[in-house]
Amino acid sequence: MPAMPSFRSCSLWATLVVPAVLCGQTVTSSGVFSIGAGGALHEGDRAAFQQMVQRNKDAMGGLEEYRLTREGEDDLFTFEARVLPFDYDYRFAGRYEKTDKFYVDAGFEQYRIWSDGSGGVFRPTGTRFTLFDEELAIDRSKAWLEVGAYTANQTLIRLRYDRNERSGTKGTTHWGDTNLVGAPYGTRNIVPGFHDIDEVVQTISLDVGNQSQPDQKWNVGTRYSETQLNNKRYNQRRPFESADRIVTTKDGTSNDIWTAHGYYQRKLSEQLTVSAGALITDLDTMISGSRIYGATYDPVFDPAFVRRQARDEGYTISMGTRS
Amino acid sequence: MTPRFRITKNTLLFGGVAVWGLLLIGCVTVNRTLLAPPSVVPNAKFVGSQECSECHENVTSSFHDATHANLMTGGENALGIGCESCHGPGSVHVKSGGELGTIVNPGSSPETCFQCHLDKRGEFALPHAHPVMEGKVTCNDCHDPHSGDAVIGGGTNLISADAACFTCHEAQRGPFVFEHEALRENCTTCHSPHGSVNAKMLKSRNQTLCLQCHFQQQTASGQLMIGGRDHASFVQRGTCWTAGCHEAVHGSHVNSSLRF
Repeated sequence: MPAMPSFRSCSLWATLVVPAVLCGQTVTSSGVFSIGAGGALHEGDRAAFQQMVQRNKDAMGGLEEYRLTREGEDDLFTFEARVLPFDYDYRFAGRYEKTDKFYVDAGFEQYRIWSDGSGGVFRPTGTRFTLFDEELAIDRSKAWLEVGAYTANQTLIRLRYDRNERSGTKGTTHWGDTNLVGAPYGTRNIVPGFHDIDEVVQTISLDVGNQSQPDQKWNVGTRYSETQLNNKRYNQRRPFESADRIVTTKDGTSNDIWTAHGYYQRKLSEQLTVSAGALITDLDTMISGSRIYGATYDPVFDPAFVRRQARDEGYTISMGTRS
Repeated sequence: MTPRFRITKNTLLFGGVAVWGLLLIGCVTVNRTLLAPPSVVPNAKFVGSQECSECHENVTSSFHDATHANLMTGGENALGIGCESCHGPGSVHVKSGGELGTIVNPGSSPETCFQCHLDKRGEFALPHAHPVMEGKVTCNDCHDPHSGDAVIGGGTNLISADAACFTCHEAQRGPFVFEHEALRENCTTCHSPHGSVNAKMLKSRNQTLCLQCHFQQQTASGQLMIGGRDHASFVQRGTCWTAGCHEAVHGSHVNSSLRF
């Protein structure tokens, strides 16, 4: 039995064959690309700078824009890209369409949001705390694949998959407390904390509809979406005091959403259009989480934790479902 | 002796002539169209929205109920009030059969929107804002200029006013066992989505934000009664949502006072 070709060899064949096929057509190609590079000379709070300008402090640059269009007699191919590795900024998007027949649209993009993790400052005494690397950042990414096909009367059948991700760390205004601001000021909330974000949303949808008729439009479709959130927040209370402890708050949420929808619209005259629609949604949610005091980030719950203070309230293993 | 300014016939006469002269000079010397998008496509002229619908019928057919459709008007003198208000004059685009680069595409740039919504440019320049100016978020991510309300959701729509926000901020969507009712109003109850001087784009700083809604009649001096409890000694230590207090500002699964 012959061995199955590997993914790598298939990719190689596709890379070699597709341009040959495309070159065999009568096509018009056009495109543009631009590259750039730069950097910033900066003295001061680096995390604050990055949050303010939303750029990596050290250097930036790469392929800012790349666009390619190949237009044939009855088809169109477009591709665009952006690759800025120092800023963690990427985009690849391609679309091939055969006029009035079908299309394929796919892409991936990612960008980074910089965040300053510093806490507050107590002005009267100039007190502030630096407990961790305050150069925080979250990467947002999106990937999609859409395939559509037209029937003879221009009814469009469309299948789409989306995946959105958000991961990284970001600052918070949930500041911890301290008594180290000096007399007579007492307890103040200026101790920095941060979020650890991990979120994934996946959606797949199928729609069938016709928008091409001048006097009537209709569409029916269904969509399934799954959301997974595993977020944490870290707060430190009374750092460098005998009551020093870290609070880890976890939020785990899982949502499954299924919807089916449809509408019909008919234009009876220039003055009167009648439309009707319906939607059904089913939502299942599973929640879990905890809020635990400990000596480190992500501690195991210890009821005998020695630095625990009065009113250090929390909870563990909260889990349930809701529809 | 202090000179006094008085409006006399001579003031009106000479002042009026001076203003008229400035206007006349302005009209003669400024060779571009005012209050209209810049023509970034050389030699392009306005052709009217009817031309656009020849190819972009899927967009123009639903434009009639868009917020921006309120700006539409008819007649030869209003050719530029329509699609070309934002996309620029389209004669070159039409003549070339829709060639790329022959029309303004504001989808990835906020500059077209700023021509009318100039105040938003200022808000995006504030220290805490969505990264629109950095090109990471676009106006179209939250607003639909082509159909329906430009501000998505709310009103008589079947989706909530927060729908645009929840597209990206999934963790705040819920559902929560104990919700913060403010989210029913809109995220903008607490946040300024275009930008703010406060962290997290909050409309107001610290406990001042919460006290916009959470206040009640005071019956004794020195007291700050909220929810039947005196908060006077709490609020001076920091915000309402910092450690140990009302941390779950968007909603909680475990505590009705949104403690955590």
